[in-house]
Amino acid sequence: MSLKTWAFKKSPWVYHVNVGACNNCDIEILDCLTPRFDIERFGMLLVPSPRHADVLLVTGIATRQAVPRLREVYEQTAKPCAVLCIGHCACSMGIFAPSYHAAGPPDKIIREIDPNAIIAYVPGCPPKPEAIILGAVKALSVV
Amino acid sequence: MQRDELVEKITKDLDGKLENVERPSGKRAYLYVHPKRSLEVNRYLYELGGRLATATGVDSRDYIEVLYHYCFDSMNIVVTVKTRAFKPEVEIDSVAQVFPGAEWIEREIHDLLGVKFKDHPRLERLILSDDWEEGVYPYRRDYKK
Amino acid sequence: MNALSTALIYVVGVVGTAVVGLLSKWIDRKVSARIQWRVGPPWYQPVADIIKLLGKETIVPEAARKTGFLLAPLVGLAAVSVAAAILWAANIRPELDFVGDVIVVLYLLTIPAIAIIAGGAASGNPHGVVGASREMKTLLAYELPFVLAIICAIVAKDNSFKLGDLVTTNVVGGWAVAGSVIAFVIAIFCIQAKLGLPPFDMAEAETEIMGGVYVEYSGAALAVVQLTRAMMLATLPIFLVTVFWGGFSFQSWAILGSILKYVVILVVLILVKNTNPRVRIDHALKFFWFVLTPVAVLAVIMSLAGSSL
Repeated sequence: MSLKTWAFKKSPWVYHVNVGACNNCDIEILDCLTPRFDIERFGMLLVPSPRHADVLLVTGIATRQAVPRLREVYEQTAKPCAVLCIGHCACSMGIFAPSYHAAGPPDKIIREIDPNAIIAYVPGCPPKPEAIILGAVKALSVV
Repeated sequence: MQRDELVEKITKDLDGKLENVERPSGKRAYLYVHPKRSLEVNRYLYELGGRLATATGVDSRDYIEVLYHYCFDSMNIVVTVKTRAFKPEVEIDSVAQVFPGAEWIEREIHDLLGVKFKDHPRLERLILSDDWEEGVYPYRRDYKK
Repeated sequence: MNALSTALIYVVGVVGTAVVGLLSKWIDRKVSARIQWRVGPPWYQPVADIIKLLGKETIVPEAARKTGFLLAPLVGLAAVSVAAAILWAANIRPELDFVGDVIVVLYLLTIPAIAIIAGGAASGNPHGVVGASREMKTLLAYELPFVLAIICAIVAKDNSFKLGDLVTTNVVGGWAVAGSVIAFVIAIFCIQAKLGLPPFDMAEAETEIMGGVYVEYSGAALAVVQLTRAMMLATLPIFLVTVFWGGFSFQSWAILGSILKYVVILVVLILVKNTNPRVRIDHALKFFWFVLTPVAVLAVIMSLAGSSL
């Protein structure tokens, strides 16, 4: 494993993007940062800007209003980066698929601009923080 | 004042302006009002001390029914004003002049159901996306995705 | 001293500061984690951060001024490296100093803040500009009591402007000692603001202005910024120990005492960082100018009285 890959695995900085979620998954992501689950021991830090980020935590079905914003945030993130779709809504839009404002799950939108994007899925409504951490670890192990 | 007294007072004061008054339960009262009278009735209820909790819209066959819900918190009763906006023009007076908090509620009803509120200070898109087509109202029964 | 060994000492100074800085950054994160009842990151975490950042692409936004944006972090790194070299040289061989090197180090240590102001303003992002203006105000706030505190130490130690003399002279006289201790405490407040640690981290406020001055930096530029901050975290307490506390000595057991001095200041910074919320910029200005500055002036007067009696 090269030095670059080792460093990427040991220090993934996360940025949280909400593209139309009900905030349940966002609360669970916030739980991950609390002392009980403590993702800082894996080197994960919550960063304030997508330019600093290595992993985008995407929650929510992508609503029509959010689609151009999600594209911009993905393009602003410095590559190489991974995307983690958290929750049923981000994986497949769930029960909101026939809704009038649903514009495709976030991974479809990201693959339109970058077919080689690394995307991992954490289903659950909302997924437990342990599941989110497991998803992150699995995503990093295939980088 | 007790609830029944309140409803009696409303019925008496608005005599001739209401089409019908219903009491489905002790805590609810429906006032059926013709759209021409809706602004007067709303203004009266607001000055009586009611708090506009929210407004809802329902797409019925020939009209869109707009309901304004007034809470009288001390008496534990919700008085609902039921008016209709007849198709095809679907117009009704705006309550935002009386109650500024109704501005955004009416914008939302306009976005999703297409009800045009006359004399509304700022009837613009509120919750639909910027690239949504004009004239397509998702909450109408004939909307197809 | 021949030129080669002098140059070697300077190189050791720069590299040593980088190593000590990254280690201190780890100590900071680990102690903060333990205070919050968490397990913290492993010891190689800051190094992994920098290596990872070097492997990512550096994006320069279209609206940014490319040259200023990319040059600013390098200027900051260069300034802190030279300051670190001078400080280590004065500690390892006190005869390597020159007259006025205290002033040189003071000036060099303000350059990283100015460089960051330039970088944030050049980033073409409103968050960056707001962060730059906040950093400017913070700089105005803490520089005054900091300089006064250093003056107090100079006055208490026989008016000498050489770092080597500051290291080797002892303060005598009751008033002068009291004045120096007060000045030391004031200097610790000032470096809390200089390092951008809470409660004075208005310039890089994660939740308020999305990273402030650093919002548009990515990849290698961000790695340089992080390295500069780590080196500042190492250099400023070393500066304080050199000026106030008798410097570092590298004879056998005295090394432990020196490391202890550095660690004490570091731990004070970390504890203050973890127990305080961020203050507003006008509160910070009022605190530094109207609370700390009069006390610093008092300390200077006490040192003058003590050293001339």
